Amino acid sequence: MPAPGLRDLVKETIPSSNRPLALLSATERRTDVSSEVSIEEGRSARPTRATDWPALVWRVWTSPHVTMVALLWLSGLIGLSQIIPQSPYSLDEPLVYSQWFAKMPPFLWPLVDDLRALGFFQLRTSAWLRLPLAVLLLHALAVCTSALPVAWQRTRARSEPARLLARSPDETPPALGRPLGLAVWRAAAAEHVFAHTMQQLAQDGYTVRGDPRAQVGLAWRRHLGWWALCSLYVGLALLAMGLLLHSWLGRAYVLRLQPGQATTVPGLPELVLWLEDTRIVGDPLAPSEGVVQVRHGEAESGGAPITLPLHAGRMIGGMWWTVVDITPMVEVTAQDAQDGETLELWSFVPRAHARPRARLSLADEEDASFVSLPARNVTLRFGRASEPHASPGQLTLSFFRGVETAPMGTATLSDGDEVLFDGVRYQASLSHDVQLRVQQGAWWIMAALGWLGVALGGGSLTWCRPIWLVVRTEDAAGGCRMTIWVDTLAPHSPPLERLRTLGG
Amino acid sequence: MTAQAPLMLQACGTATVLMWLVAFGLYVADALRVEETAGHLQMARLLTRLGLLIGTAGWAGYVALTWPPLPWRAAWLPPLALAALAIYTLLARRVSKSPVSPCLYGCAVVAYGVALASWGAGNGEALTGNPRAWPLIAIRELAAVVAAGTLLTYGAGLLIRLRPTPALAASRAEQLGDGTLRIALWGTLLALAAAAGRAWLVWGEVARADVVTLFIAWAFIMAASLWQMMTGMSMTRMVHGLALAALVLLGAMFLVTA
Repeated sequence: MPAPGLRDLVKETIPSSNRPLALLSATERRTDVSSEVSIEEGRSARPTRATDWPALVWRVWTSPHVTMVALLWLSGLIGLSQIIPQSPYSLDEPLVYSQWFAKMPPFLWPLVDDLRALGFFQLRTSAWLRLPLAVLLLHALAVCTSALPVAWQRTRARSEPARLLARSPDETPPALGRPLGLAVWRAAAAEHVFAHTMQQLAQDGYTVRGDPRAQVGLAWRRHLGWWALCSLYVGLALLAMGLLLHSWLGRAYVLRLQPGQATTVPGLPELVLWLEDTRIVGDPLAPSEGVVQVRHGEAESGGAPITLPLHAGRMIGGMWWTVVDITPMVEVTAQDAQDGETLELWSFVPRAHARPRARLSLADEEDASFVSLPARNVTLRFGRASEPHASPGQLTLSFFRGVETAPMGTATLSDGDEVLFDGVRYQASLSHDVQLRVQQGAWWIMAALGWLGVALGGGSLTWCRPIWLVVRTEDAAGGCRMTIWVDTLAPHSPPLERLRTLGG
Repeated sequence: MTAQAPLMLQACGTATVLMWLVAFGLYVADALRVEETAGHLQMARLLTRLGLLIGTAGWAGYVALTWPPLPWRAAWLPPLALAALAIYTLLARRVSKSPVSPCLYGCAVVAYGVALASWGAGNGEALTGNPRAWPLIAIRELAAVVAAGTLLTYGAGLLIRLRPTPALAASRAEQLGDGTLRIALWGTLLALAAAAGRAWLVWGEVARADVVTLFIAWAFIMAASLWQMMTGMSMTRMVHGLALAALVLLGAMFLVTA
């Protein structure tokens, strides 16, 4: 963050006593520009602010205010994406669209089409979110470009101060934090004031290095804080880039695997998955722990088996695989008890048709599913057993005749049990569907590394707020003139009162 | 008797939190004063000890009557709050008084309050799912409680500063503001990292309610800290607004997410 140099900051008045000539911070400067008089020109004259537009733009762009704006902008959008229901899939299909629309809060219904056209229902992958991320990325990169060389220069200056001081004795140093400039006149010899100032700074806990011949000195405290600042911005750049690339290039696939069926991934034709086995720990009707075995290959047998615990993501083949959910399913068959004929069942789900075997989910609302037997005008309701002493995995099966709402009969059964009702033998067996999320692209690793940088940098900066001082003295009429330039990230340090008394 | 256990926790817990809030306010006011006032401190000590007794009795009765299973927040947060306050009252006399020391008290108030509020809202059922994610939940919870506790201290300091008196030390208020924001930044950093890690491990995505609210709270506190660092001014309206908004978000996180 290059800030105005000392020349821009120092306000000079006629020295009349042994008091500070000027003390002006960057924030004060804005309100006091009219009385600002630059000190004498150095060897490398700095262009005036009015004409140096690129420098002004660069200064604004690398200002921490841009960090704040980008963070708040990003927060606003992320918050909005939590409030407005986001659609995780494409809404082009009418049935999918109507199902999604029905879940919307009614007050949003008149606005849905407009908001959808603006991309408000897919904020996480829209330009709305990518724009502040891009701003944060470019800003953080610019800050790194400015800050890293300065931090490196300051680190080297600790061991070789003479080199830094000799290289630019008159130039105003670049600032990474809050710059302060102070010019004072002292009624004493320059050598004496310089030595005394450095001694005072050492007593205050600063590490000091000086060149008595050139009367230029350095003093610093918590030097690592400058690297913490760099780490913060490198981390922000990586985080923004990782999130940007993740939302742009990364693809997430949410697959529903069924036993004995091949599941293909749209866009990844080489990925064919077979659900081989599901082992549940605890109640099979409410799986909270379990392990899923999936086989990867064209045929049902052969291929590499992959073991995936529920809710424990794994990196496989450059993709992040997570078993998000295991849904208990009931498979029902019906046979005529007399002649053994298989009867067709019709489940109450969209697009279903009559089949000899019905698969019903127990994860729907009220944990119950319905299936009908058109040949006998009977409807079956399967639900979890609600009796207090029912053992885990037990089901309740109720029979309804026609459109009656009271059940004709009820039975409790376990996996594989058979029930005879009205001349029909029903068999229910339990199985599980698996919801698998596959995240393609490893940009999230970049984002995670970025977060590590942000955490290390931000965390270190809370305790390690650095201060950097450059002290110069030179002979002036009747005494000497001392300039102190401070770059600090500590809100209350160094105290202004202390700076005013240095060298006195 | 078992049916009345939740009522017991609710009644005792509410009384405890109210007493502690008053005592906490008195401690913060005292930390900001140039000289301590014996009357206020005596009242604060009395309320703290009374709260410790009632809070311990309420929680112990609840645990004894309903174990197991317990909603995990109601099971683990109150004893942490009680332990933190016991330490605070023990150390209060021995350690030199720092403006930031009431933060521990703030964390205890938040911990007990969160346990009650989330239990009342039906959140925090018994922990299930991948046991590998439980430590991440614990880290998120503790770090978020610390962040919210320090921000509560910040808010209390702000309330007290609204009525400036000659006894109030401006420098102590600034130290309190600066110190609480630093701790809150650490807390939200850690909580966000744990929440995001857990969400990625368990669901393969980080767009979850707790991660989102923690990210916004972190961004607010980070922005406030940057503002402090760059302007050198620690108690400005901008910083107040961001800190209080972060506190509200952390509260919402506790209520909304399990």
